[in-house]
Amino acid sequence: MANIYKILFTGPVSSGKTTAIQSLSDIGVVHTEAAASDDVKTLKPTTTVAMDYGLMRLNNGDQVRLYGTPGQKRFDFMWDILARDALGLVLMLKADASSPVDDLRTYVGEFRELIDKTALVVGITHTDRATPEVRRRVANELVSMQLPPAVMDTDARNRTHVAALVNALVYSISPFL
Amino acid sequence: MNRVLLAGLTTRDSAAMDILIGMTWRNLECITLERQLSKSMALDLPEQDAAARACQICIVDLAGLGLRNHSAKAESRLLEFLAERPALLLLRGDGNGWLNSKLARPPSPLHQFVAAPYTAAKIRRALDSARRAAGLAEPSDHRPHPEKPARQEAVSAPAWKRALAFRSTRDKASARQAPLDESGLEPVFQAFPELRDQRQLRFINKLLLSSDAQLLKVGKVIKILLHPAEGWLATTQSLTKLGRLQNHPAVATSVETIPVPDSQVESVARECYGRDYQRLQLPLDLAVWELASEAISGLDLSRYNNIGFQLTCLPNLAHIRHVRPIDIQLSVICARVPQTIDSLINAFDRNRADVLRFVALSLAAGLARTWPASGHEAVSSAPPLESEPLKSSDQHGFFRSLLDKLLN
Repeated sequence: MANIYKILFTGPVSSGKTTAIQSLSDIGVVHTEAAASDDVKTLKPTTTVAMDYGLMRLNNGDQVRLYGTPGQKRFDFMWDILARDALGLVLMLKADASSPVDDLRTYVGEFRELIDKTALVVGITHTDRATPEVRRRVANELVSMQLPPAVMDTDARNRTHVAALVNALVYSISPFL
Repeated sequence: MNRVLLAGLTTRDSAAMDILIGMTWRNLECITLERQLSKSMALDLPEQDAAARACQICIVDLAGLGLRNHSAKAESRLLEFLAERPALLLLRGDGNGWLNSKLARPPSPLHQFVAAPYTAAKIRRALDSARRAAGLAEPSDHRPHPEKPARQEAVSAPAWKRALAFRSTRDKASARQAPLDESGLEPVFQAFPELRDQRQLRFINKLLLSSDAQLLKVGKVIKILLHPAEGWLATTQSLTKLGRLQNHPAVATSVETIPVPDSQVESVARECYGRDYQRLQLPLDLAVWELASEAISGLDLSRYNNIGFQLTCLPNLAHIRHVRPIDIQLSVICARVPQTIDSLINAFDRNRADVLRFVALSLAAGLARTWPASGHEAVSSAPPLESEPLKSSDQHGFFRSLLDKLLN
């Protein structure tokens, strides 16, 4: 019987979660977006309010559901729901945010239980707008939080990049495939 | 620190088991006993030294101990070897009588038979029971999900993060070791002494020896602004062109190097590349990885000095050209658990060249901390044999299918 697995994408507003899911999904991503009504509006006109949903169909019949969390904190009640049963967490961080390291701490704190049970990989997006040092700083912070420094620069639009992230996630969970 | 004795396993299985356990439990460390041959050149029970006898749990490959077939005598010898310690007993096929023995019936956490091919999840579950039987279990570890038993194997992946190497005894031991000289490409040269004479690497090394910013001028056109302390270089040239450039015999002698004070880096960058110079910045580790990859392409790296290392940052895998799945696999493993070159080769003995290339490039790119290999790692060596470690299962099939999908 086919199994259904879940990978969760999270990160701040406009960090590329939806785009990353779109890059991997076999179906058009199901959005639950709405017009942004607060300061998010300055970043993008619409934002995910409940979740994004994409799907990968595997040759063995299994399916991987790709869920993106809402970026705005006031929808964070969805985070726990989406985190349930997830295989692992992909955290997208914007290199040009005011403090990507602070964002990292926030999201690791929120999802620590899931990370402890499964695995975390971090993709740094918008790297063309920031210093290349961001990846190192995030790696150092991961180590200081006693997590593996599994971080790489990522263009969420590029399927190969996002696949490399998920690939690293898979090997984090099962190192000897 | 609690210890698990690995006995009778092949080199590859031992190394894989060592890594798996190291990634899963923070308080478990493996001690490996090499396979031993009797006078008649048959596999036999090895002698246990004090460290082996002090282990609280055993993982033994029955065939590798010369106990492939069950008999009263074999059972007695095994029990004497185990000395009442909880054990995972690895066997093949129908068990050659072991599954009908007193040890197997009724099933007991003290003696758990695990038939090959065994999966990582199967080993983790069995070892969890053994840990409880030995009084070592921590209730919060490796908790199955209460609501979705069908997905339990995937969801209940272990709390490996707690097992991160820097929290382990092995890591503490490595941290106590004086690090190798990590200036420039020195770690690469320490591990692969023959590369010291490689022209392109000598050139890269020269660039990396200073942590101060510098402007390199090659001829009248090519300008490379290098800032090792901030981890970037800026150039209008592609990495492919830089690779070709470093191959040119005259480049090492024709490069003009101009030191740039920190206070002038930005103005020099604007002068060379315009106001948008940031779009021309490349992570230095990525650039060095690509250039070193070009430099060592086709070279035989098989003569190496064993060293210990652990990645402090993953290679920039999404951006590296020609990245292979094994690069990702090795990156993840080496970011979690301190390794030696020997231990990696043991675990990936069919990918020896890939492992050596990965190590050389990781060291070149400055992604690892390094230390001289100590006696500790030497315990994980034993003669190679045939078995397939940690393979096959629904979960394995799922992950394989997922990787196939991601690669296509």
